[in-house]
Amino acid sequence: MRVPDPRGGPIRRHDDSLAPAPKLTAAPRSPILAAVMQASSQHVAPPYARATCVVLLAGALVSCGMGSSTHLENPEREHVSFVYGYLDLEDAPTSLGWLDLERVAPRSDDRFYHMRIDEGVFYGEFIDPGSYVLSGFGGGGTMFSQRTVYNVSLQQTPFKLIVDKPGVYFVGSWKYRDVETGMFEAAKYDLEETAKPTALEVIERILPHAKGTTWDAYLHRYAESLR
Amino acid sequence: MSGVGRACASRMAARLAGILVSLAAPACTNFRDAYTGGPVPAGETVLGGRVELVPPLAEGEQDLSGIQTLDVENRIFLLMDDHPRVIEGEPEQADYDNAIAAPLGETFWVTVPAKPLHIIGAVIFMKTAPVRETARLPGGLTVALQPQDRAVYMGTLRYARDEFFDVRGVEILDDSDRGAADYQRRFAGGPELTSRLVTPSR
Repeated sequence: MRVPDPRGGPIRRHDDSLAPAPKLTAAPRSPILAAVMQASSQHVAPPYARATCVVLLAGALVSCGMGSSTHLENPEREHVSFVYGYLDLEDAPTSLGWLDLERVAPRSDDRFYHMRIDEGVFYGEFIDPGSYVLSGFGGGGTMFSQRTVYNVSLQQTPFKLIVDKPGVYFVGSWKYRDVETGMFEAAKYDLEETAKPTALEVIERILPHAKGTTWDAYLHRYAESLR
Repeated sequence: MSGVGRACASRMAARLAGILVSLAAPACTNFRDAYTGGPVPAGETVLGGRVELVPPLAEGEQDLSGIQTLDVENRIFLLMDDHPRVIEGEPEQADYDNAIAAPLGETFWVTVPAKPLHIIGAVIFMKTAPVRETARLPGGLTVALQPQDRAVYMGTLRYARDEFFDVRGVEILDDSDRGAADYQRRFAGGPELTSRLVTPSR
């Protein structure tokens, strides 16, 4: 006997609009990876750089949280995607200092991806294929603000992202809102999706950080496709 | 849709106290006693069943670091009440009263009051430190126990989920034969077993 889910069924927030922009038709790529990209000619892959002996070290650093710099780096691994979004913490006690995505499938020990941050914009050019959720964010910890950590449990993630093909994925713009709770209750908050800034407005703020990398032309073309 | 989260901040001592209380909550709660054989107290019955999670929890999917006051590994907590109701958000400590702590994929046998029982939700602890995180599964189910029941098998409750722990379906399987065999093997000569499958609450 099958029982209908009393909650009315799960809401799967993966949006087709997160799929790689269809207007992208070409991307600079290294000869070493040309064969890989030709094999999937229906789909445009992001620019890959030639693999070097630095790959392993750089890859390890990236996956361990090298998102602290705002400047993009040339891809060091195959099949990585660019993921970005915006989180407005104006109503929070801290500004956005860090944000992590967690890869929930396939599972691995190094499943946390530390995103780059620039005034509410978060982005990462090192996202491997898989399924992702927002696992946490926070900020502060300086002389003028106390450190605040927001943990997001798996079922309460505001967005669920499936990176199935290399490309550009926008996970939306979100705004933090405090939720009233009792004196002895843990603090709660909502993340509410907002129409602004748009995917185009956000990517335009990222473009200066791509200068000098192979992402530059690729993201410009992506931005152009959104206009 | 909005995501609701829990802020672990040192904003106020009182709020920190609140967090600590919530962490301790299930450990201070009375769960249904496991039935190990012998006579059943008056007004109670033995209830057996099984809960499956599909796909099952992967190794390391539960992050159970820190001090454990409660065995939550590979367990699901069936939250029970004597009337149907809906739990909004994270269950409170009182919601765990009389819960069944069932090992996933294994048959459980507990003693419960011999009257209709309502499964109002289910919880799996996914993380215990520094902040408790749970995966919540739907209830809305009833086991129509009767006062004359001495031992009842409710079938297998199967939750299908995706990688985001969204529940994709809830299924009730009639595996009464298997349940009866397990009962006979464990409690031969025990109270007579009746099969009464769990059903959606009305």
